[in-house]
Amino acid sequence: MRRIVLLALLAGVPAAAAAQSSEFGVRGLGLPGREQSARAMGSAGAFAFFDPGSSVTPASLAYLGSLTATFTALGDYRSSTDPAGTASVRDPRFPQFALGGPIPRKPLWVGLSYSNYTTRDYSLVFPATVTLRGVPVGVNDTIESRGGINDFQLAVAWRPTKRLAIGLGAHIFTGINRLDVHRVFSDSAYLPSRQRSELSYAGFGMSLGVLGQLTRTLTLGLLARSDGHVSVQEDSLPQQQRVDLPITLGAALQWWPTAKLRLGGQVLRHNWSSANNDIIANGGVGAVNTVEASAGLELIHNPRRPERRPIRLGFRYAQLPFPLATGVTAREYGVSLGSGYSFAADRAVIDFSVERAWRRQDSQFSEHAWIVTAGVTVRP
Amino acid sequence: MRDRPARLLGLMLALAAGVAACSEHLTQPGQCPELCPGGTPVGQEEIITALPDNDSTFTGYTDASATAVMLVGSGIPTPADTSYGVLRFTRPDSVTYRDTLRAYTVDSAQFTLLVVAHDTAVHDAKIQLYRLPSSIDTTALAYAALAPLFTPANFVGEVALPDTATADTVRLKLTGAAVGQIAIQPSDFSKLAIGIAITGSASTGGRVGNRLSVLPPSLLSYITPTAASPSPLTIGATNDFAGYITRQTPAVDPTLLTVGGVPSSRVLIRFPWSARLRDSVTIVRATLELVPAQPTQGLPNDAGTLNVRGLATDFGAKSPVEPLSLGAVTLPANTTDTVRVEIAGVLQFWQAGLLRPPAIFVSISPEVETFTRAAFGSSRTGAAPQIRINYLPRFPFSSP
Repeated sequence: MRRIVLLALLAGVPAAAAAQSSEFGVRGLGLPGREQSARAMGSAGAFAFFDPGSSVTPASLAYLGSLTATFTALGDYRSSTDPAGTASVRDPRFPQFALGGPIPRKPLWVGLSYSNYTTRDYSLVFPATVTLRGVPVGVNDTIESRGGINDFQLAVAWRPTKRLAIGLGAHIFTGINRLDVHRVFSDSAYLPSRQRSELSYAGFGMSLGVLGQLTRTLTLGLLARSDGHVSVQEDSLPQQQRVDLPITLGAALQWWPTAKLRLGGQVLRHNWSSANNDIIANGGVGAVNTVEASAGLELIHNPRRPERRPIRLGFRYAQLPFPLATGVTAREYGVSLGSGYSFAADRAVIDFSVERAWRRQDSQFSEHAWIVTAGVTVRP
Repeated sequence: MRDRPARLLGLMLALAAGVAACSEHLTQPGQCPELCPGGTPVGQEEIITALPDNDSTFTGYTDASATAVMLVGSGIPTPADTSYGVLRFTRPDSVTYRDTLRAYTVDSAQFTLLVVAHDTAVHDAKIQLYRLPSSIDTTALAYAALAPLFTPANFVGEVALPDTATADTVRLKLTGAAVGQIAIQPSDFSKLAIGIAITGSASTGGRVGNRLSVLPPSLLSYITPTAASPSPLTIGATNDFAGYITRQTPAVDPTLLTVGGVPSSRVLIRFPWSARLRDSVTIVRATLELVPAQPTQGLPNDAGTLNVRGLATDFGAKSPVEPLSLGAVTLPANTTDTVRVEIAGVLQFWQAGLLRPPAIFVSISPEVETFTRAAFGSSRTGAAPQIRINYLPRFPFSSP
């Protein structure tokens, strides 16, 4: 029965990865993904540095005891408000897949993951009146976008001592963004129009992560990551745009005050402003540096089986890199609650989390969302 | 066993999350410029004019012999015009009765004609039938020779056309002395020629079905065979000719663009077509504008249709048309206003992927079956044909 349920869940996971959509993902390269598993999302990413199912740092692979695959599915139920109105939207996504494990008889781990890097999923409707041939004509424009950039990471981790893990990751950025603009007219003399395009992305980056156990209960994580740049090609046109991607620096701390309680937090800084000039040169608003931070705890029911019925809580704060207008910054807050359940002698784990997120840019643009995440971890 | 409820709960939660997430609804109202990467589509307008001396009239595609109607008119399409229909029947001079070929006497007769259309705004419109010499040469009908025969002496009868329907089947019954008007003498060699005219309280016309129509003209005779104690019989007559003759056949002015008429004229117009329009825009509206050089001709309240078709390939006057590209507009009589035809569907065939030649054929339908005829300005005389195009340029998709 358990296998059947697992298979049913796995069968529903498509190959493409994407994170939740947002009206704050309309500009620039979209809404950045978190590269976190459902387990990490349960505590708002506070322990993502130490979660091998997440792709935040390659060093976390060293926590894998055996070959492990992690799938993550996400449902986003959002209410977005802008000066034109408010709408309730929803979308299912599959933002994270990771596979990795130790190399036998060596202090090495390898892994690959497929994560959402940025998402440009939106569908915006603009009713308006335009003057054609001297006559006002009602039009209804719809601009739709699906897709974004994905991060395919190949990572290796080395554990020279029991207290130190070093990870190195190579990131290949790929992805397609399908855009569709269509207009219908209130005057039937005008034909509806539709224009489509496909933006394809390609880039390469590197990351270096370190996890060091400072004391028996305290672990520190450090990350340095350079994502290089991404080339953007529209359809099959020969010219390509180049957009610089950020350098990310991060640190995280994990503390076990008791065997049943884990506390942690992380801070990441991305210098997205490196993309500012490229985005402005291509007609965009720009990009700003961002900081994201999260803190959380995990209460463990049974220390011998920590993945069975833990309670995870977390809080998250993030700045968003692509503002909708110049001179302002969009921010995101989130509160998460999560748990999980292991079975089949802990060879399979189902994790889930629920996050309440708020995003806001000045008083005109805001949204709040319920983000439901479910993940399956399998250790064959 | 104690863990079982929690396990089931976990599984159900995971499944519920997966299932509930499997629908997408992302549409929300947008606000520009904040939520408009690339802006909103901005429409533009451009007018292209026919290439000089690349607009011509070609005549002779279809003539009257191919039509299913006879155009019968009085002062239509122009006051100087009169058109008569001509029918010829063959009725045997004897019938087989009681196994014997016998002569007969005609007691009564009935003509049946299909009036495809007429102007219902003209009152007292009537179809009139006249007896014509049976020796009439149907291969060389001449108006000058026929017109003097439409006299009271040759009058057979008339039937009123209804004001309530443009199309109707009309029947003219002849009884008593009137039957004598259609008596066939031995010198007629069983032939009976009938002329058709139309009258009304004002100039009018009608389209009368001929041998190719769904209801060909017919003559039914009710006879009594020459025999002892005969029984009445009914015999038909074979309609072996149905045509019409018009007082004047207007000449086609080569400096104008003429459509319609008999034989039919069509217009071929070529336009300049830039690479930008071909490759980089989305056409949302295109209107062909033709300026009549003179009032359009036709039967009021029975307008023809001006058709515009794109070409599949450009072979000049014999170019095949693209069957799926069509613009059409009703062309009323006596109009001098600019005629506008929506042809966005035609121009879309001129764009990338299809690349049909940027040229159109303009014609009247039903061809040679309507009084409608029009002459438009050309690149040589008057206002040249032009197409007013509204389009959306390529959207800047790559703008972030």
